[in-house]
Amino acid sequence: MISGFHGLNIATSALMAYQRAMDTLSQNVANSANPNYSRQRVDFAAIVPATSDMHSTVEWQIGGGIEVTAITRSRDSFLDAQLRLENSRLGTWTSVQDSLGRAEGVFSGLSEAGISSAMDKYWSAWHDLANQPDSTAMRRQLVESAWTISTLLNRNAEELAQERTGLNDQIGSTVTDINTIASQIANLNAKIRMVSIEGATPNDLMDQRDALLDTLASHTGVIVRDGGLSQINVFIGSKAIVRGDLSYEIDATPDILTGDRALTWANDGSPVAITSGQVRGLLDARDTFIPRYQQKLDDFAAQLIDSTNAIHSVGYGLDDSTGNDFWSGTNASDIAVNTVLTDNPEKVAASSLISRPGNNDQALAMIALRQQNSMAGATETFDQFLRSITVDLGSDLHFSETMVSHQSNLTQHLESRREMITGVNIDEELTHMVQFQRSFQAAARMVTAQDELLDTLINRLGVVGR
Amino acid sequence: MRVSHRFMYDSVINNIMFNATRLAEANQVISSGKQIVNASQDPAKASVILSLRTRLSEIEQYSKNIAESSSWLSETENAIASKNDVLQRVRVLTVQGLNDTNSQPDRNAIATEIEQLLGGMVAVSNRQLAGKFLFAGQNFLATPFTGTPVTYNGDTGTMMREIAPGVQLDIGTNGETAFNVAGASIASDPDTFTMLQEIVDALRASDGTALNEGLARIDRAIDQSLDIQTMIGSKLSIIDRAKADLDETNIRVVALLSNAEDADLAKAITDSSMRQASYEASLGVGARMIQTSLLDFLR
Repeated sequence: MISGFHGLNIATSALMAYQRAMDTLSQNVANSANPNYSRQRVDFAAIVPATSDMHSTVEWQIGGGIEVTAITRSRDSFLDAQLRLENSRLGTWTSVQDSLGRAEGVFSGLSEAGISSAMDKYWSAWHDLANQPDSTAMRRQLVESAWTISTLLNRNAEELAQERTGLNDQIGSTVTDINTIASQIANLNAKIRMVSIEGATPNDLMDQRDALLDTLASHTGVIVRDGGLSQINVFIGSKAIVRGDLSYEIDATPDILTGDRALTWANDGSPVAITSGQVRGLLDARDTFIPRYQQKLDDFAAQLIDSTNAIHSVGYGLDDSTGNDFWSGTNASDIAVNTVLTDNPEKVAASSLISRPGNNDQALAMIALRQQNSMAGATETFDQFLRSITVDLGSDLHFSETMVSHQSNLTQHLESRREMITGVNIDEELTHMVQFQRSFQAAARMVTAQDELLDTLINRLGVVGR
Repeated sequence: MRVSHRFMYDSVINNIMFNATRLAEANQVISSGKQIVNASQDPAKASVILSLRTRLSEIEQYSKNIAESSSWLSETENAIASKNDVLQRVRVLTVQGLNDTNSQPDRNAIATEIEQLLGGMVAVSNRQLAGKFLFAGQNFLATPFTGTPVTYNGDTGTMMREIAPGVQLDIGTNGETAFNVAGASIASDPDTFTMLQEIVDALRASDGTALNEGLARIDRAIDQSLDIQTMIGSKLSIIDRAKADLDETNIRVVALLSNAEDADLAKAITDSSMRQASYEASLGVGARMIQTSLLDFLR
């Protein structure tokens, strides 16, 4: 026997269910511009009529109305993992590109004010001196052009060293960020577990956690594994950075001597195996790319110093001085024109004989140096080697730019795929709004209709003859 | 396909940014006049540009070397020609002095003129270019021929100049060779100044044998001067050839460099206006896309 109030109950359940649905719609519309939000969906189910063994023979089964069984997020965890992987690769190349871009800006090898042009002027100055070996003016001009070379080399070496310092700073701050995110994820894990135990789905907490994971993945490549009770465990390489409600810190203390930050796990001191992400890019730039150019500049400076001094020190200046080095220093950071020569340009030795102002043997030997394969294991001239630094840097940067554009196309594509699933379409929400509104109105009308039925029963029944 | 509104807005922004970047790139090419500004834009081209620029600076320098060498050689040639003129005049006078119709006073007068010519010869031997003595070898700051009798203070050093990569040319003519000091050119004869002095002495002494010997010496000296002139002439023609080579290479390298480096303006401007159109299109489409919504139609 079904209660006379059953219809009212059904209508009430509908009112409640559609109100919940409207609330969820409100949340969706409110978050339509929130990039970290996943669209939520209300799952409805009809309330099944109560059955029991005693009433198994009931002829008509009428359900108990409607109920909300769950509010779920639209999310594709496979797409998430894919996007995070590509995002961390994008991070790698973005860091490299940024660093190399700065280095190229400083080096400006292609500019007319760059070191290759300065080198051209330097050789020309030796030619001019060979043409007029008695001239002090030509010596002064030579010393000036040499000074330009040494200044450019010093500046480039200095800027590259600065770049490495900057990279170390960035590594430090990114690692701090990683540690913060890891502890936030661990906190969220704890909250999510609690809500899950109570049987609810903490959609918005999970969104927050996913957003943090996205940021973490762009910093460093991570592997995400299910940790039970809606928790996740996060790994870098084979070691966990988040396990349930615990997070593990990465240590990035700078080396006292070099200032280089080495990444180790704070709990056991083992190295952190970072294979992608911004940190990987920063490490690559610091350990591979920038040192390569530093090395090349140093090689160039050292060879230039050695070769030039070997010729210069055995020659004679206008004042019959001999044994003077042309360059002082040993590498790109400390190369300089010998101060004896900057103070007294007449000591520049163009002659191989004492008291022979017309002799230009040493100047000619310098000119010959230009055509000589002195660099890169006697396979390249000074000019070629210098050019190769500019071109290497340019090629590396070009490659990283290509990788960045490739990766960002890929991530944009994946993001749009993800956005198709998680994103809010306002038209869709509005359509549902109209739909739920109508259903709510209809249910409300049902209450009125049921009320009229009951009114008939209660107030008008059995009043014959009154 | 489901499209979220955020995705629509994002793609509008992405497309506008993409087109704006490409437009800015095209405009940079126009305003800088260069195809590439940084090596990373085209590393292979950057390498070409750098090596062409070095080549161009070399060409410039070698042109300068050649010009300087050329003026030194011409100046030397002039001096040798002057020397020859003096010798020719002395020859005429000597022949005249040998004539028996001349009296002793006549010979003395001829001797005086040759003495003056001797002074002129010293002046020729001490000619300078830009403060440097032409016939002093590598000791070209000190006056090479001084005193009576004239002594040589220069040396026999060369004046090597590089006129092409690895190609050196000796543009110097040292005083020993030019004026036969210590028999450097003609072993049997004394130096030019002594030779002239001996002719003067012979005229004053009316020594016919010595005068005849002097005449023979002058002829040999003239021949030798012509040799020097020929040598300088051949060096000048070597230099001219090198110069012609350089000029030709210069034209080629300038063209190559311009090809590699300079912007093709016609193309750049076409690119720019095409990209301007795409940019405006993306703005227009974006503006229309983000305006419409179901909200416009619900009442």
